[in-house]
Amino acid sequence: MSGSVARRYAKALFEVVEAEQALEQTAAELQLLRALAEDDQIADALANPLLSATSRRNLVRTIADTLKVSQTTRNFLGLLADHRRLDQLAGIAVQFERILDARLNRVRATITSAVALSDAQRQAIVAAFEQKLGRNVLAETRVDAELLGGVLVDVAGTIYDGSVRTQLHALAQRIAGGRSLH
Amino acid sequence: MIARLSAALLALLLPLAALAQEIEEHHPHPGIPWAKLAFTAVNFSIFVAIVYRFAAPAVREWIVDRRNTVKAALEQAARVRAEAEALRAEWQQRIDRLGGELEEMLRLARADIEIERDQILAAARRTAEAIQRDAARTAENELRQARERLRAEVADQALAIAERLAPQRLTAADQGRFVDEFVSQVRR
Repeated sequence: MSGSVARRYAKALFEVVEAEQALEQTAAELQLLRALAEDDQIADALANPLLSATSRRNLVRTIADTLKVSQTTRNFLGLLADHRRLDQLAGIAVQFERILDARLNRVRATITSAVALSDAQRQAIVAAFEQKLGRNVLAETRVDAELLGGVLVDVAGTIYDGSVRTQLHALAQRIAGGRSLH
Repeated sequence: MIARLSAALLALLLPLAALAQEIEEHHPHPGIPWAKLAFTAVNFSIFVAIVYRFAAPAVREWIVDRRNTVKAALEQAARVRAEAEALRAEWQQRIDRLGGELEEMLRLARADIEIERDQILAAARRTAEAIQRDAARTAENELRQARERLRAEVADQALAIAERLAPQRLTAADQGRFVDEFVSQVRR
């Protein structure tokens, strides 16, 4: 239900800013707002049903001034405040990003490795996925020593696991299951 | 009628007896006493006539009855004897047949016993086989479980050792090789 609401608002905003050719800027602003909305205290304030319309307006004005967002985004926040949909802000940011990625034929990926990757390794991984998926890949990298070695890539929820940890676990399972290792 | 006849005979005999007594007393003479003898003969004849007249029919009737009774008894005895003979013959036949029947009964009993014995043996054999199968299955399961536990233990230990040693043993070259292999797999 809330996902549907967020998608509907995101789509409406997308159509507006696409006409203004401000897609990337709005996406960046929404990511800031999302980070803000994911803070527990701010999320509680945004979802508080006891806030009056004036208080909600003042709240979004303060947020917009602080983050220095565009007028379109400012107006959008006012709209959400009037419709008591400020609690959907994080979801709307996610949906907007998905719509934008789909429109720009790109996909987001998270590359996790046991040790930091070199630029060449990162580029090689991104290039491999772009070739595989036929879409541009926006990759962010993370380091997780528990992987022991290798890499694990999350592409829009799909996991490509080349970590040493997973291979060792698979090996251990084959040993425990009595199956041949070769 | 009998009473009248008896009275008439008594009336005749009493004067005759008195006459005979008187003759003997008044006219005694040596030699054979013919009068007394005649009286006795008449008296005996009358007695015989009376007996023949009154007792003979009853005696004849008794004899006839007795004969009939004896005849009936004899016939009954003959009948009973015949029945007994028939019964004896029947029982003799039965006794004669009894040997064969006993043999047949024994044969059937032996056959039943053999069938029952075979059934019991077959059931016992099946039970024994089932027990053996269960025991074998149990032993196999226990062996398999023990093997699986051992493998799991070995796998856990191997995994723990590998996880402990990997950070120390893996080099940058190894990491580069892992990345290259991963990229190759993604490109496939």
